[in-house]
Amino acid sequence: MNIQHQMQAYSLCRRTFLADAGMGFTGLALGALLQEDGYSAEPVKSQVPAKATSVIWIFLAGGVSHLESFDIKPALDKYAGKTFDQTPFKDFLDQEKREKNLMGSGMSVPPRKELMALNTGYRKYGECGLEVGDWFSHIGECADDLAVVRSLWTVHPNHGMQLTWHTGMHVRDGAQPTIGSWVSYGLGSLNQQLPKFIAMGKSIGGCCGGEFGHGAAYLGPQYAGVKISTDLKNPLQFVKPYGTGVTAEEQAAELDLIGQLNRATGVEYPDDPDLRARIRSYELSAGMQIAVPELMRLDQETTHTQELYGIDQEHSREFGTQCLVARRMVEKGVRFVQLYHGAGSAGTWDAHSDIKKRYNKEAPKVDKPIAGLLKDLKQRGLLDSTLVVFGTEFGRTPGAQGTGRDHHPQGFTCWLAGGGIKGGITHGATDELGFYAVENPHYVTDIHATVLHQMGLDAQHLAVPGRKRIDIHRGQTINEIVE
Amino acid sequence: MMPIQIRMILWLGFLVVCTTPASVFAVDEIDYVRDVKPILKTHCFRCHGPLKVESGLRLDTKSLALTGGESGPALVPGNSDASNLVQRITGDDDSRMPPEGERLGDKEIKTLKKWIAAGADSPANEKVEDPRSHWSYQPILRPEPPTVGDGEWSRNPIDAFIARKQQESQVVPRPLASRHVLLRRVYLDLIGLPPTRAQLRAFLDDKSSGAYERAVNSLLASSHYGERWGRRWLDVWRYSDWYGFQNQVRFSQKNIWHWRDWVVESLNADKGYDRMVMEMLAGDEIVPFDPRNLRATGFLVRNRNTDSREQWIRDTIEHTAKAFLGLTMACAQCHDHPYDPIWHEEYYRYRNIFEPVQVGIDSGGGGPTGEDLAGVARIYDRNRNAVTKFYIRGNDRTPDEKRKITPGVPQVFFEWTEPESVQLPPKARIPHLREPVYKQTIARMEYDVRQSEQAVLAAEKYLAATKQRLAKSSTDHSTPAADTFVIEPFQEMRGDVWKQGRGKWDYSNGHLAQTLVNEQRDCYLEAVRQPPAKFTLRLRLRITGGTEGLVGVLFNRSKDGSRGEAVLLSVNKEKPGLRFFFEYGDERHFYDKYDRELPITTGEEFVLRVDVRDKLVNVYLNDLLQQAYEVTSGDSGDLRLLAIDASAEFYHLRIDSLPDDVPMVPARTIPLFAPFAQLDKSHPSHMSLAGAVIEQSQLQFEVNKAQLASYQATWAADSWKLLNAPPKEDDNATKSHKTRLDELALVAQVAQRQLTLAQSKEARFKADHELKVATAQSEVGKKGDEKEVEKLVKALEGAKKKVASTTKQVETAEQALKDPPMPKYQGLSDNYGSSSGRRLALARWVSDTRNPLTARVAANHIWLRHFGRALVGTVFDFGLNGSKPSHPNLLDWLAYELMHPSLVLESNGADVRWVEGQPATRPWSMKHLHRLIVTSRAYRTASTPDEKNLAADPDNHWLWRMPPQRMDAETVRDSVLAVAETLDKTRGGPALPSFDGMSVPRRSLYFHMSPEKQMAFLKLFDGADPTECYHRHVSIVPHQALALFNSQLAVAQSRVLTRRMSQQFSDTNTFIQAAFEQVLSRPITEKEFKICRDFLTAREEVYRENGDPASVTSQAIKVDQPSIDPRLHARENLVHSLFNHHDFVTIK
Repeated sequence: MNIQHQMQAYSLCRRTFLADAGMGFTGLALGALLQEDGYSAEPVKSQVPAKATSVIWIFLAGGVSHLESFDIKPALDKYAGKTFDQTPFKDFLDQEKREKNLMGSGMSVPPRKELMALNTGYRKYGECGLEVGDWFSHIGECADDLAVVRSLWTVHPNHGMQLTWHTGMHVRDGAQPTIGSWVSYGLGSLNQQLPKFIAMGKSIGGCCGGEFGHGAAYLGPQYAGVKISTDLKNPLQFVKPYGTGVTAEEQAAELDLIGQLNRATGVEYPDDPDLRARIRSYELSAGMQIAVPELMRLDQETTHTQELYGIDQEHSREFGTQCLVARRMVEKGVRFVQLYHGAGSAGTWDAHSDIKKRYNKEAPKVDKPIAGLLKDLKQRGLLDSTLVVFGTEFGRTPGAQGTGRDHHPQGFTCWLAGGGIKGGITHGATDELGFYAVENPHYVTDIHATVLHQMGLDAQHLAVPGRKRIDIHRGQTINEIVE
Repeated sequence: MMPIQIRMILWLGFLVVCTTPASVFAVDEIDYVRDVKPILKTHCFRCHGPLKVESGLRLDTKSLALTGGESGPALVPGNSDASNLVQRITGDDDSRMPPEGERLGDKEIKTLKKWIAAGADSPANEKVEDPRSHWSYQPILRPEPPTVGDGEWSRNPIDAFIARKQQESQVVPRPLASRHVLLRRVYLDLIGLPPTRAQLRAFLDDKSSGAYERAVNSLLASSHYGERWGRRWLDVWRYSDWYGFQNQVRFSQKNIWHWRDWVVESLNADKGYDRMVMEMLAGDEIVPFDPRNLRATGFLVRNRNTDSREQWIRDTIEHTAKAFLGLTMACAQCHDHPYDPIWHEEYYRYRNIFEPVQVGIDSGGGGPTGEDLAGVARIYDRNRNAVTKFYIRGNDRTPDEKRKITPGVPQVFFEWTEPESVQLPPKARIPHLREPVYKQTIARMEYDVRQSEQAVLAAEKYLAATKQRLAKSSTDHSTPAADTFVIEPFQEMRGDVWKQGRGKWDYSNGHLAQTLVNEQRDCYLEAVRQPPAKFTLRLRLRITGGTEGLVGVLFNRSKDGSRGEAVLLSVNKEKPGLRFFFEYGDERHFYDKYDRELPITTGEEFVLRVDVRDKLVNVYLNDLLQQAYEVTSGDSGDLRLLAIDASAEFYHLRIDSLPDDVPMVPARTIPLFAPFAQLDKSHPSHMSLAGAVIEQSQLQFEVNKAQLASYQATWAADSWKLLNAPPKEDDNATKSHKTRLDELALVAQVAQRQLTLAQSKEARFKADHELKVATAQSEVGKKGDEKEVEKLVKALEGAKKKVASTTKQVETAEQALKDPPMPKYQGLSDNYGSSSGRRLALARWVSDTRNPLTARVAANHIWLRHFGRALVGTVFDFGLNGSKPSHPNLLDWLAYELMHPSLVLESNGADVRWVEGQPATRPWSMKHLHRLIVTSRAYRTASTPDEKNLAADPDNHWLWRMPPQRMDAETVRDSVLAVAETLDKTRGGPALPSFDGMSVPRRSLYFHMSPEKQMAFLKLFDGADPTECYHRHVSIVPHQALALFNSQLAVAQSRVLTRRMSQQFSDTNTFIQAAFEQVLSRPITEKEFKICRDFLTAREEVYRENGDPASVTSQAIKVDQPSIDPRLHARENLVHSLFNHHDFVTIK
């Protein structure tokens, strides 16, 4: 271990120590706040050179069909209507093979024996010629910016996987630090008026992790995602004073009084970290009262920009708003923005029946907004420093479940863009039917490790004493997609 | 592809919380103790150590490794490759070690090789370490408090232990805290509420000796003590109200708040800790039929998880062990415990104790309708012979079928007494034999009788009204007299009639259209005025698009939107027809059972008619009756036109009040009216329906009466049989008992036969009507396709068969009543059977004073909450991987004193000290321990810092000061209310809705608390995580500032307080002083006084300049607005700021 590495490890160690000791002592829990406040000696340094400063983490709940989005399988049209036994892929449904990586009892999904044709058209996009399903044609236009990872696999064939996608651990392990909370924990703030980690959209359902999806578990609540609603009227809990008639001037006067009184009380408690943190928290809260509603001022955006995100259309307005607000957050230095789509109970992308009808309805809600986000980030020069991740909990079966497709954890897809990720490439592959991840398989936490790596953090060294995570929970950087 | 290996590693994921990283750094010099032994300890000791000597080999010292086992020495110093150890850990065949789990890392192997190659040096005096000799596994003895002179640290043994450590560590304790600081500290600590200004002043004025001790006594006697410490223990015991999916209970149980009340009451009564633990684990086996006791088993009920029985039992194992024993049992689920002497199999033996459990609710004599709030959620053994399987590697997919698992506890501590099955007395087995349950059941049945009697009357009224109307309609075609509430032709927007809500509402072409679709939220138009409580509404509309395609009316909507009822027309392809829902809180529940599936489509025009009277709703579509049902709440409210992801056109709406003489079809008559579909147009069919309704309600009435009679007769016979049985040896008594029993049994049999007859008549009536429906449908359906016709024919056949079989049942029942009665009857159901006694055996073992862990763990939890830091930092892990106690002797002394109280507080003038004596408290008294702790010098120390101490002991390890603490979430909220003197001190009862937390002034522990529904305010202040909270996290984040600054709680309460105090203190200077004393429980400093004074002056100035009136005599102003009076307004700002003062949320 070289000296520099040791130093970095030391500084992180100190940091984790500060947070951990805080379980008993309020003052020391404030590692980050203090450090940002200039009270702590060492700033938290990047462990590895950072390529990105912010992440926008998009999560589509329910399990998006990889087969009809970013891992198109023409073979499905060829074999449509046939059973696996009638194709060269007889052994695919072998129970042991299918369930090899699944965890726990009652965890399997019945084999879907009859292959189903693609439910949407597709075509090639960009110089790279990425094939994308028509449901995601707008995102297709950004093909040359995407690194599509087609070889994900996971252990959980049910929607508890929504939590796993965020924590890297099984839903029965309950609350664990999420990817966003690690970023928030590991890195300093870029904006004193806003939290580092913000989540938007409906949280995942109680079945599948609920609020844990953007929680911080043992890292401490200060690192959890702050839920901000795009309900422009009430984006943050308690952001406005109760009742009517309280003016901003009056609030400012009170905050000033509180500051004065707090400072006056410190005589007997010199250098009290709690007191300083509280003073600071009131300052930040005052900032948030202004900064958060300011984020929602979409009237500051041009009509053209709003259209780019699909805000002018009913079906894409809600998610378009989230995407646009996410960009505004990134501009203000928010480190990690998590966008949920279709979450709550199993998730709207869970197409057990009538997949065509369902995706015809769901895809237009997100396709243009996400494409708009990528294009807008790019034209503003923000894509270089902003890493966008498009993910879901698993794929869907090549075999038909009536008019739909079932859960499919053995092989599925996500993509990354910006933030030092290579554009216009695909990495890893499933077999001809999109069943198994056969080339460069990646467990879902490899995406976490890659994101952390781009943010300048080393997943292998992010840990809190006494809370060991084993290798598979940390994952490994996918070097092939990193610039 | 990732191989099997991965799966195994994932299984080992269970281990994660138990394992520590083996910190391996490449170093040049290999040191046995620093580098080698930890590796061997992590990977090898489990099987080759003092507890288990596989193949005769031990590796826990170097000399033992050299001696070796069956395969010879493990080490060849100087030659690593020749060493057995190295061969085994690097091998690939079956002999590779360790046989399960992760193999050693490359670095670890390198380290071992290097060490052996270098000659395998080790210290000469290496001793055998036996995990069984771990400190917390040793019996609890009473350490003698050290002698620390005759000063103020000598009056309480606790102080002697603390002072000795301080002397050794060369820290100098801070002086006593000032009296106001101390009083606030002990108030908040013992009752969770700050002292009032009066209490503060009285205490400060009381200079006599023992004033503090008297305050402590009164706090411990206060019923608020149980609330404060109850909430603290509920953290450890994982209190959670029920949660699940919408209103379906999946986790915990309804009515579990009874357990919370039991905790509060038990603490207030100073029930021994041992007894509390016993009742929580086995209350149903100790005093089986006492519901007050059964409440305690809520501790186990809480683990219920209907999604996974496996998880349910796993949680039970993990948390009973963590809470009471400080043991991380869960680690032994997949393999022997990596640190503690707990075997893999012992995990399953411990599991076997809980294998039989099931959760039930004993009805408890509550009201006859609605939720049975008095019903106690309790645990019981469902299957006392339940078998536990040993899971190989903890995987429930690979049970070891051969291994037989018997109940047991870890052997290392001390033997338990084997469980004996508990014969439950009749009252426990059969809850109906208990008076409250009997009364409750009778009340419910009598209620049902009255209800069905009412239904008969309603049906007769319906018939009469129909007759009247029929007579009238031959001469007069007008509808009965009604007030018209609105006639709306939707020509233009009428602001006096409608408030526009979400959506795109436009008036054009002579109608109103709503065109916003693909919205997740509702689009609506709200009537400005509230419609009459009883109304009939006719809406002509057309649904034109949208995916959900639901359009209709929302009525009875409360102002805050927490309640409402809706009738909707649906063109949704999956569920076309009529749908109904109600809203409660922020949740929407569809009444799926009332769905009417109808072949309606987009673009068709319909007239929807909704008649509402009290709870009864009749719904017509194009004048055909479609549904008659009762809504959840009959309270009237606002009306909305509603479109849920649907575009629609509205042509006409008319709402009239609904006179009482207009007939309404009673609810629950669904099968009856289908054949009479053309209801409204045909009065004769109305007559015919009315006749059927009368018949049905009469039959129901008969059933309900027979049910009551049968229950009473059965109960009389059963209670005579089971509760009045004379001793067997008394022949005479036995004989006369039998005679009486036979009489009662005869009565019971007749009553039961009558019930059977009534029930079969009702069934036959239903079958008759189903046949009518099927006949009518098959008539209509004849034109349909083949499949459809086939289905209808089948249904018709089925209906005919059912008529035949029910007719037969009636005949049989009639015959039975003609048969001579016999003294045989069906007894009340035996709900609970007998109990395995396994949990009782565990409870006795846990609460035994010989158990080395129980008292230590409890004393540590208590200490943690008094001082904000624990003596053993890992409060749920006292095992080898847990942290060491900072004051081991103190902990043992406290644990011993908890079990065997031996000190009394003696006051001799100014000298107050603890001396040996006979305390009036029972063993395991927690109040005794609290009193000892809070009267200690250590507890009364100032919390102010000190440079020298900070340098010597920055973490305050030796308690040279009282650590300042932030109030926990509940204390913040409760203190705001207490300071404002608006706290509602009502104790106990059902959980209050968490969304009422900012306006309902009850104590925080009484609000619904579950992972899904936790009061936002409490959550922001790091309220307990209901899934696990042995130790609360504390954070300081901006959200807390916003919550205290902007919430209704803080704003409204500060105004209430200001206005009240201002009546008492008109003088500004006095007001400022009093406000400080009231809110912060302390005197104000000169500097602070000046700041506040200047602030008030400046604010008053601002408000006056802004044109506020100079003075306002009347204070008829609501708390949702600031006062108009500039002086009051400024004062409100000051008081509100004091609630946001660091000193308010800080306990110094």
